[in-house]
Amino acid sequence: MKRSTHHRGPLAALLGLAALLAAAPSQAQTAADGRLLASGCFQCHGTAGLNGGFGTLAGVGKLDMINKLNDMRTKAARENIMNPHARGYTSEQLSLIADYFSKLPKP
Amino acid sequence: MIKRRNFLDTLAAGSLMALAPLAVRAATVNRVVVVGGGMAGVTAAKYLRLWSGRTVDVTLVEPSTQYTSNIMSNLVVTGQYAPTILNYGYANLVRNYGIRRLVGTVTAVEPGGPLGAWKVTVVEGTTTVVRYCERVVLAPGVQFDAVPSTTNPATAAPILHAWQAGPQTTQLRDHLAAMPTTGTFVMTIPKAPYRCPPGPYERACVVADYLKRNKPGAQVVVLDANAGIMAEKESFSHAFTTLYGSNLTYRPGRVVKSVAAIAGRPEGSVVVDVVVTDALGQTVVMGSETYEAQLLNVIPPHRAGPIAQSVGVVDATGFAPVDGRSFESTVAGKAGIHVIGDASKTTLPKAGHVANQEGKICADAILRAFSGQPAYATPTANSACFSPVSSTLASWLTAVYQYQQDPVTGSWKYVAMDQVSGAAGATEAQAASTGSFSKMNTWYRSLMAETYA
Repeated sequence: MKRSTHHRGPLAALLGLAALLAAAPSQAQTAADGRLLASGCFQCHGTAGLNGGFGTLAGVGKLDMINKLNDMRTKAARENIMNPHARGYTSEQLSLIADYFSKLPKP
Repeated sequence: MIKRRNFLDTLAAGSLMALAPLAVRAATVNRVVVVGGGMAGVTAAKYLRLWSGRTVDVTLVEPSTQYTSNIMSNLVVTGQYAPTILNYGYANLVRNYGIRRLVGTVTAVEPGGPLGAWKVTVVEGTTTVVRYCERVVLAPGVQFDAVPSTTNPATAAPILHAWQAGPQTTQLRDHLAAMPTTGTFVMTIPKAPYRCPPGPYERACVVADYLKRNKPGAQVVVLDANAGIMAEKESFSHAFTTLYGSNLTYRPGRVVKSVAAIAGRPEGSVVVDVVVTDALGQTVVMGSETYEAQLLNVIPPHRAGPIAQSVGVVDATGFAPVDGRSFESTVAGKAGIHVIGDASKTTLPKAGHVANQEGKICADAILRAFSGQPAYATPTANSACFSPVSSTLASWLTAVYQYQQDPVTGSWKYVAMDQVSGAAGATEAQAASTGSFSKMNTWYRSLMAETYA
């Protein structure tokens, strides 16, 4: 990649840092994205995955959850309401959702 | 052009702000006023507090002392469930999250000048209070359009819709219980968009089921302004033709023109235009029909609630256009006002489960804005819902909506798609079942606990 000769000095450094932050979301930002995506599960699985009527998601291992969701993705959508949910998110979104729940303490 | 010196000063001030002790920051606490205590409003209020670690000051304005759920209200109409199952108070939200509560009605939302971005005027009993805030969230739900009286079209006919749960729900229940054994229950469905796409068909089914068991000579007539069933087409078509083939008639393409009824009385008649859509997509009126009912249940077309109209955030459709990432109004001069729930105009269905999610998307976007971040670019919402088709059977419907850009038009909207198969649209249950009826009760309890506790 060609290096720009413009904007040298502290301002350039700051702008460069800003650009980097904008390009690569910080860990906190990714966590916030995961939390927002996962909040779509709260209606049935409870606020932050606790005390819902359809099973606790807080503290479920990331791989466990991804495996379960991937299994649902292979099943016919109309057989169970969870199948179309697993099929409706992208793999990247499911990974962010699973990551969010896995980092919450087990009840 | 921004001067380098000023730019650096601004950055320095920003980073000092982050290190400032709490006492200094308290002077700049961010304030949000949420207007409307339904599914959307209370969820936004809850998550603004929860996700900000209680640092954002949130006031919830709602004139009622309790919420009456529209979800499940059709089973109150048939007498299967007690009306009390629909009631949810605000005490849990106030106690658990420290939400401030005003039991009043918002009469104005105006620019706040030096005291805050917006000034919200609330009439609370006999007193008027003013709240300044950085953001306003409007969640007023819907209001119903007047329906002309058949005898005097310049006046509005009395309407029993029971489409806003409350006194009309038990009124419809009582009329249904008292209906003659050979009577006809006529209900009308407005043109979409209306609140709860499967709701009217669900009501038709559970009423037909009630009549089949309790008044075998009675009939249900469903007059739909739409060209066909708007949600769970397979489940409801199947129920209409098999379960209720003997006592339910479904007529699409019937748009209500006028109603003859007496306030408080169950009977009445409704005049409808019979419409079809021609090859060019134009609606053509083929004629008109009159239906006599021993119990008339007209659901009029709706629009965003009064405060959305008076604040000026609605367009010609009667609903509020918003940016789907934040639900912030896209009307000029209304930046900082968000509209969520049934009052907003998006491609998401108007339904409680979705309204809850809109509250969370909106809260997240407001909190990001308070920390100088843009809203999450591609939020999602799912519409999971269960619908009873009888006193023992229920179906379900869901879709995951992705906020995405249309590759052809370039416009951003919520689109439902199966990411595995690429199939567009919502998914409905293979068949209605007793298992889904039981899950429906669990779903309702979970959703209401997530929203009101």
